[in-house]
Amino acid sequence: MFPGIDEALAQVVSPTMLALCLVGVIAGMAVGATPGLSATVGLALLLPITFTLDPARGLVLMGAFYSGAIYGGSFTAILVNSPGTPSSIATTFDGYPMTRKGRSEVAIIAVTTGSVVGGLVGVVGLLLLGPAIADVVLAFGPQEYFWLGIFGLTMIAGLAAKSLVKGFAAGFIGLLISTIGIAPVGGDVRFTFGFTQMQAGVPLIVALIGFFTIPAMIDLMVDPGSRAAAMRREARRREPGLLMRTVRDVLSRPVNLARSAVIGTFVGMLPGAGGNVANLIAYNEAKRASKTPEEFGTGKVDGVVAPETANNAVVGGGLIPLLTLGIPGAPADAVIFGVLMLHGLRPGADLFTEQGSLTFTFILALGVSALLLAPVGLIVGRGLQRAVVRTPTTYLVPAIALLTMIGAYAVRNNPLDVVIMVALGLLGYGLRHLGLPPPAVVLGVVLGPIIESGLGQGLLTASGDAQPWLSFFTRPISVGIIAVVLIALLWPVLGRWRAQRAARPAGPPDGPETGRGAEGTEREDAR
Amino acid sequence: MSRDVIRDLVAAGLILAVAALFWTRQDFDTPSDVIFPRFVLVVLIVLATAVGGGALLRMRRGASPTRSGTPDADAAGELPPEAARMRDRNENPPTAAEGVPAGTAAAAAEAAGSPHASGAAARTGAGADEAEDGDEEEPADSPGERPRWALPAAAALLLAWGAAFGLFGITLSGVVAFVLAAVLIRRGPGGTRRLLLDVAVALVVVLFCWAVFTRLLYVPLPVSVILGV
Repeated sequence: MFPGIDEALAQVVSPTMLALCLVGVIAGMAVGATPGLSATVGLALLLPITFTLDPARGLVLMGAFYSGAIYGGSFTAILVNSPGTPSSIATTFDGYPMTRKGRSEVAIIAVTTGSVVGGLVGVVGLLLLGPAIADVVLAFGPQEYFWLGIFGLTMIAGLAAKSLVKGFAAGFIGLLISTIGIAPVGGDVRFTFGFTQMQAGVPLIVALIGFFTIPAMIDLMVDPGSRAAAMRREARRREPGLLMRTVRDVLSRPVNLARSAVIGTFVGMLPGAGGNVANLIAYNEAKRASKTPEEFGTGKVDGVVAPETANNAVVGGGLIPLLTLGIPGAPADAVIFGVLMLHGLRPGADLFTEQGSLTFTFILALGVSALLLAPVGLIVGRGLQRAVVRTPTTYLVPAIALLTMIGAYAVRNNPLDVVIMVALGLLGYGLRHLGLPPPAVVLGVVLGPIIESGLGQGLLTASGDAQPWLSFFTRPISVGIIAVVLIALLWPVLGRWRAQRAARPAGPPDGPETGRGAEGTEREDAR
Repeated sequence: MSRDVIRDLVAAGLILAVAALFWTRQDFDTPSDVIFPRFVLVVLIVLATAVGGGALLRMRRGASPTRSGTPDADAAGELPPEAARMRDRNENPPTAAEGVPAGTAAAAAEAAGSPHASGAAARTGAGADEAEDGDEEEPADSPGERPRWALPAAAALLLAWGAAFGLFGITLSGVVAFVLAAVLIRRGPGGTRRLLLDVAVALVVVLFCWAVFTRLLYVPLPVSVILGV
């Protein structure tokens, strides 16, 4: 079934390959933990180094680096509310609250556990299901991507606990920001306000650093005492056995891990979606499935495990269309595609037969890298966490602010991006105080291009039809996603109805009995 | 007029202003490029109208149905204690995820003019849940250390730093802004020795970042024309 896998296994466990995996994971974690430097940027920086290596070693190094970078993005998301990569956007939702509550070490251990599981599931998916599922991916057209984006927007219902209307307003502000620059279909220049540098739009990384990090920096500058209190709590909480207890706690909820890993693997397979979408969907589904959804956003372990499990599963999932069809699932996969091409390897079914040893060495090395995340991550991640906890706010805040400035600049080497990042951060701070959740804005920025490209391309491909719009409602996969969207929209209503039914015999009929009830009532008010 | 109504009216005004700003800039006409932004703008206007209209309706009714956590509501016994506690936890999470972190409560308390309330509210982020966990509340380092000038000063510093980054390069802007930020967080220079230490730390951090990004990662950071680096 797997020609050449025994040879690959022997190669992967050789000291050289293990050392390459280790170096790749550590380097990837360092780049991933730096706001502004995404996994793609890191892989692109690594590309010249692989020229000097043979194909197997080059690919192993790239794969390990990719795994490390995706995982490393969670550190800054948890510790300073700054997602190191777009794949860790949802990790901030509960990760930073955990830090504020003095539970950052628990968060780091939890995301490490989730990342290992996610990484392994992604690799198993790549190994076993890859060729079979790749055909399904090919059936995804613009209409399906459009509905996938709409499905992502339903997450606003979960992000906007106070007012659904304001949540959607924030999401649509994000969609509006995503329309800045050259249009993806027609090529018109839109909303640049006279700045030619804006023609490429607002980079996602700039937006997410601005919306997440700058408000957190301002909070710490305005009220440095609150962090000192949290750090004292953290120091007091440090206790023996925390590691094993947290790992057991995470593993005791296998459904959350499995669901998130499957979401990550599947979304990773869809070209153009990637970890930034997968982590949001996984977070939303974890919240939707939770018995205590009202605790999400306040520092819940499941809230950091779900997105990090999903985004690490994306690593393996994204390689399924790449290795089987030659279609990169995510921008980072495109760089790996480049390495394959440089070494004269043609992706496709032949890659698994004619180059079986090489292909399986790469895939197995990804599994080894996922396993290495545990020891390396727990040492480096907890070391970083303790360093951040010990660093006085007086120096931590300016250091993080400096890194965010450099990160925003490094995206396009454009000083205007730094100003845009700060301006968006100040806007996010203001919006937050007006009850418009900044994460919903970022969600809009992430999903805007997917929705608009899907819409435009879908209408173009169906332009020969009498009613092009109908193509969005008649394709079988589209209908399936529409059903999921409807379920996602109706789920809070159903949950509220169930909560009201459960509460009826116990308490007064019109008093909110639970958090969910209160939340639901608010949503009703908002509607 | 309650604080929530004012907040919603400001939010609606801001959304309408943004929508109007973008609406007037629709100088493109390819049909496939017009559909999506126009749809987004129309929906934004509708949502802004809903937010503003809802606020005006509440104002007319003379009472705010939003559970914004006014202590008076609890005191008046509108909600049972358990529901009020759950409500507080839902509405004042310490994170940007919910959009209303500790800072909001702090700002609200500050706006109400109570330094004690402000200090307590500043800790709300962890406080609600910590109380549940049975943890005692930690006092802030310096009670009442939330002067009104801190927020505009922080915003101005970050904006100036962002603008100076391209103009003066990472070294000059980085060191100066780093020290200013440290002084702002400490609420003053804290003596010559402290200031010198700040400058030393700033130099080390900035030069380290510069070396890593330019020498290791080959990211060409902006050059300081004045210093020539």
